[in-house]
Amino acid sequence: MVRKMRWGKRGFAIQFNWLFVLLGGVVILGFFFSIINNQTVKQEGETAQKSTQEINDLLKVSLSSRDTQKIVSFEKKIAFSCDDEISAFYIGSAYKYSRYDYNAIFSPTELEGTELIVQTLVFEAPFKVLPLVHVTNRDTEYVFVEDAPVITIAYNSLPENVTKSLIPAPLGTIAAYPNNNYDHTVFVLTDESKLAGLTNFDNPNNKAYAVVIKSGSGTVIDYGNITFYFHDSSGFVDNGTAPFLGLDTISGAIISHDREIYECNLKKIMQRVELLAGLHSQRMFNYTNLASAICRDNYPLAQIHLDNIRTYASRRPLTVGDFQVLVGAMGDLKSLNSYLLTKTECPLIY
Amino acid sequence: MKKKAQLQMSETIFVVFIILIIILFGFIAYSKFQEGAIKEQQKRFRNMRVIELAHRLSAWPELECSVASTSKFVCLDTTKLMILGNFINKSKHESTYAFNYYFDLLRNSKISVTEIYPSHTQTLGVDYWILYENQGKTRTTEVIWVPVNLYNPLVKTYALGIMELQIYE
Repeated sequence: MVRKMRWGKRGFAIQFNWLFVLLGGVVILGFFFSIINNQTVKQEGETAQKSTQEINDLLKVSLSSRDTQKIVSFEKKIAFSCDDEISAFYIGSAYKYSRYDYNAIFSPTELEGTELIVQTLVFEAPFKVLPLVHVTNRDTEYVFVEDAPVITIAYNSLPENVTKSLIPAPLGTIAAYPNNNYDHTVFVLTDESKLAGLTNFDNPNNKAYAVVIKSGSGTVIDYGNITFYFHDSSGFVDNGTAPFLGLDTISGAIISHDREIYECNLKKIMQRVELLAGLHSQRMFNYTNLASAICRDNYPLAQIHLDNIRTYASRRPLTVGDFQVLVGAMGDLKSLNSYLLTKTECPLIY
Repeated sequence: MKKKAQLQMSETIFVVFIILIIILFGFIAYSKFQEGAIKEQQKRFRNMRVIELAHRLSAWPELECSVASTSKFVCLDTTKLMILGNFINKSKHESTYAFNYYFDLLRNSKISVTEIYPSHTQTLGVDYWILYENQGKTRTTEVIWVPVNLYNPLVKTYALGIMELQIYE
C-alpha cells in the first residue's frame, strides 16, 4: 500500500502506457465486433434474399405447371400483400420485395412454419386462362362445417396435406370448437348465423377467421358470394363480401381467408380472362373468313360468346350478377367447342 | 551514413518495389480472371432465363396448340401467332394492362418464330412472325433458338419451326 502511494514520474508513465494499451485494445476489439456484427446482419439479409429467390423460383415453376401439389420445407416467415397496383411477398429481413403483379397467388397474409404447401390449378373460362397458385402451411387449420354440398366439394378441393377437418353442422358446433393451437383457424360454412361466440376457443382474436359461401342459382360451385370474417373482442366481424367464379376461386378464398388478397387475385384473373377472350374473339373473326365453308358459320356465334365473356369480365366492381352472365356465356362457348370437337372436323375455338 | 549502408538501403527499397509490382500484377491478373468468370456466369444465367422464357411461352394459352383439347409439347398455333404479335404491337403504344402484362414477362427482348420446313420463304405473317420486339440499349445475349412444332388448325398441318429469342438490356 505504501509502495503504491510512492508513484514517481516513471510509475505514472507505466500506468499511462497500460491505460493506452487498454484503450487501444478496446478500440481494436470494438472494430472486430462491429465487423462481426455487420457480417451477421449482412448474412441474415443475404439468407433472406436467397430464400426470396427460392420462393420466387418455386412459384415460377408452379406457374408453369398445372394441377400439382407439393410440400416444400421452408422455415422463414413470409408476408404477402396484394393490391390493385402491386403484389409482392417478402421473407424475413430480405432487402427487397419480390413482385408478382400479374400472377394469381392465393395465400394468407402471413405464413410462418416449417413447411409450405403449394397447389397449382389452371383457371379455365372455359379456355385456359392462367395458373392459380395456392400457398398455405400446416399451421393454418381449416374447419369445414358440413351444412351444404358446397362445403364437402370445397373440403375435397383443398390440398391433401393441409390441416383440414369436416365437422357436423348443428348450431353451437362452432361455439364449442376448441383452440387447437394453430396460427389461424378458418371456419368454412354457408350459414353465418352459426358464427355465434367461440366459447371454447381460448384467445380467438387474430386467430379465428370465417369464410361464408353463398352459392348462386346455378350449380353450387358455379358462382356466388363469399363473405370474410375475422374475430375481435366483439366476436366475428364482417370484413366484406366478394363474388366467386368456380371451385378454384372458392378454394382460393378459403386458403387466403383475406378479402383483400382474394379480391386482388380475382381481379387479376378477370383481367386475364378479358385479354384472352379478346384474342380468341379476333381469331374467331379470322376463322369466319378463312375456315372452310362448312365450318364458317360456327365462328360468329363463338365470337358473340367470347365478346360477352370479355364484356362481363371487364366490369368493375365485380358482382355476382355479372358472374352469373359470365357462367352462362362460358357454358355456351364450352358447348360450341364440344360440338366442333365431336361432331365436325372444324378448327376448335380453344 | 556509410556508403555500404546506403547501398543496402537502396537494395531493400528496390526489393520492396519489385515485390509490390509483382503483387500488383497478381492482383490485376486475379481481377481479370474473376471478371471473366463473373461475365461467363452472367451469360449463363441470361441464357437460362431465355430458355425458361421459351418454355413458358410455349405453354401460353395465347400461343399453344389446342388439338382435341389437349396440349402438345412446344407446339404453337400459327393462327394465334399473328394475332398476338399484332396485338402486342398495338398495345405497345397505349399503357394498357395488356402491354404491361407482356412487358412484365418479356421485358426488353425480341421474340420471333420462323417456319423452316416445309415452307421457308421468311415472309412476315406467312411463315415468319415477330411476336414481341422491345429493344433495349444493348444486345446482351446471344440469340437462342428453340425448335418448335407449328400447327395450322385451318388446314390441320404441322410444320417445323424455330423460335428465336434475344434479350436486350
